[in-house]
Amino acid sequence: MFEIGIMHFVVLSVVVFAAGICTLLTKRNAIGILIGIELIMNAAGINFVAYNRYVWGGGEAGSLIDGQIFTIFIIVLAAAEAAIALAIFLNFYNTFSSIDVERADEMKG
Amino acid sequence: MTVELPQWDQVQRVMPEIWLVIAMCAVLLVPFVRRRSVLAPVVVTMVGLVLALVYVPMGSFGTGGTVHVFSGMLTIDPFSNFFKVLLLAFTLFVVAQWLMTSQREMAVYDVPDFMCLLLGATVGMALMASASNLLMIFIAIEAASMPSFALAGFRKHHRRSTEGALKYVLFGAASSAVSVYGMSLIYGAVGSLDLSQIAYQASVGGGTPLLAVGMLAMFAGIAFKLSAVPLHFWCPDVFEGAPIEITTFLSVASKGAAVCLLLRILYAFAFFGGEGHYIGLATAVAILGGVTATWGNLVALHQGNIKRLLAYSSIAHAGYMIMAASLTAVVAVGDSRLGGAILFYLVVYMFMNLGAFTVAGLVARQTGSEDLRDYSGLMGRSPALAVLLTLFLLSLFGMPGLGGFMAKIFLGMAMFSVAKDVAFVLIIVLFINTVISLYYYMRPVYYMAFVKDDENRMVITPQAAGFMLLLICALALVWTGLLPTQAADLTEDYATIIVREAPGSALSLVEPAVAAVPGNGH
Repeated sequence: MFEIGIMHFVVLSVVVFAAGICTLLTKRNAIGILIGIELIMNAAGINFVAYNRYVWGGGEAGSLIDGQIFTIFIIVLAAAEAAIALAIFLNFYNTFSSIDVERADEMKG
Repeated sequence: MTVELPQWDQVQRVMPEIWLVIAMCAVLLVPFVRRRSVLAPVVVTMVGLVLALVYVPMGSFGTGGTVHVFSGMLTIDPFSNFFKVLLLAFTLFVVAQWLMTSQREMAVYDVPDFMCLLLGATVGMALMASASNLLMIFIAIEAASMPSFALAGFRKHHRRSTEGALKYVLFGAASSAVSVYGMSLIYGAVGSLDLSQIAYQASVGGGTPLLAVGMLAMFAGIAFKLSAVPLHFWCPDVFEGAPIEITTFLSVASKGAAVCLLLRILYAFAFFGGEGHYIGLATAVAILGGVTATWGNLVALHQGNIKRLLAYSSIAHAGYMIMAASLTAVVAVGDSRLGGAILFYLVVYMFMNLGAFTVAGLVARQTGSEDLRDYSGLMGRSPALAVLLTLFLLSLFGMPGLGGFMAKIFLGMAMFSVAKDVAFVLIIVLFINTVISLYYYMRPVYYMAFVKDDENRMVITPQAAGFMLLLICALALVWTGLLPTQAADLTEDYATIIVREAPGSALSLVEPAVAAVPGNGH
């Protein structure tokens, strides 16, 4: 019978990670880049939870939850990072009237 | 030996960090009591920093210097304590520098926020120095980064500050995301977040590809903090845009904390792998350091802005430290010579950068310019400042008789004593880089001494306190340059990094899990 195991989650996580990297590299809009970053962080979260559940949790009635705790911290810190980043984007928009990262080219060399 | 302490004792070990957090909260509450005071938040910040400084020795009181607290999340060892003392003292200097340079530009109601962010970044960096668990490393790097992003963009309507902050936050968030993905792969390969556990498993199981990829991705986050070469683009822009005291703070504290973290990770690997086992890892990190140093020096050659020039110089110095740190992966257990040399380098580097940036800040405060051309004729107008800046730049270059020279010599000697063949190449790279750097360190001196200022420019007259700060830096450099043995002995005494032993006992907790993977038989 078909059963969902660790491999499915790892593939999902790799796909999400790749999507994140592509978003990161192709987007010119600062918020788009931030979305790419969030995707990568969530890919890491998927990995942690899946490995914890299927491999390193201590079995069916496992009591080791390192990976799950880590995921909670990823969620919290991703939110905090988004808050800081959006504040800086807003400030950038107020100064440059755009959040296109190509506009951030006044300093070179 | 691992010392497990009762819960309350463990809390006492992190009192420095707790004092900093208390000061963070207190400084935000200050406006409710003293609305229009600049001094009140500064005093609260300084009291918090001094209390933290006083409590650092408590962290290892009565346990022979080392404890592992909170299930091995943090390692409080002589090495981390030394770095914390350095960091807290440096932050005090930075606050003093802020009072003398850009305090007037800041609105009064912004001061508590500024101080709160500065303290927050300090907490993160203190944690980075003693983090010995992937979760703690992640939290510490983020705790150090996020306030730094905000600080870099603190001048809200200043175009360059805003642009620098944008680049900083995007680079920082992206590299920490990649880094945390790497951590998830390491967890997948090893099943533990504990650094010593990971290093032990790597040496026993002979590093799987999953672990190797994970480590590589995780180093992205640390390389970003170090501004190592593929991830250095933020550094000059942030340094140019940020207020000068934040530039000073980031150039020393942020990179220092990252070097400490790098040392701790590499040493954990050397501890379980044995002397000379991880030569490949050491070579990879050494190449990173060499490329960083060379790139930083080459690009610095044509910089016309003093802050940008010092930013590239700081990339180069980070490169030297990475080069030395790389060999930690192959040292014998208990060998603290490399750690000692790097701590000595950090101490000297702190005074050199503090001095050079303070002069730049004092000049910028009165002329409003950071352009090298505006330094022309400074030797005639304000000889004392010009001589001091020359001294700091010569020390950054590595002039014999000044601290910078001894720091480089110790670095070379320690590298040579650890691994002769590899170190030989590294020392040549270090020497060539030092020669290249002479050119750009002497450019400000050339402008100050030999270029006539056409119009009659302002005489820079800093207040007495500014001179005091500069004199302290200069004296420290002369002292470490002429009588280095005392400081070198001190740093070597404190350079002991302790790795948590007993992987066996923790291993038994993790091992049965593999057998119980559900659906393993399908």
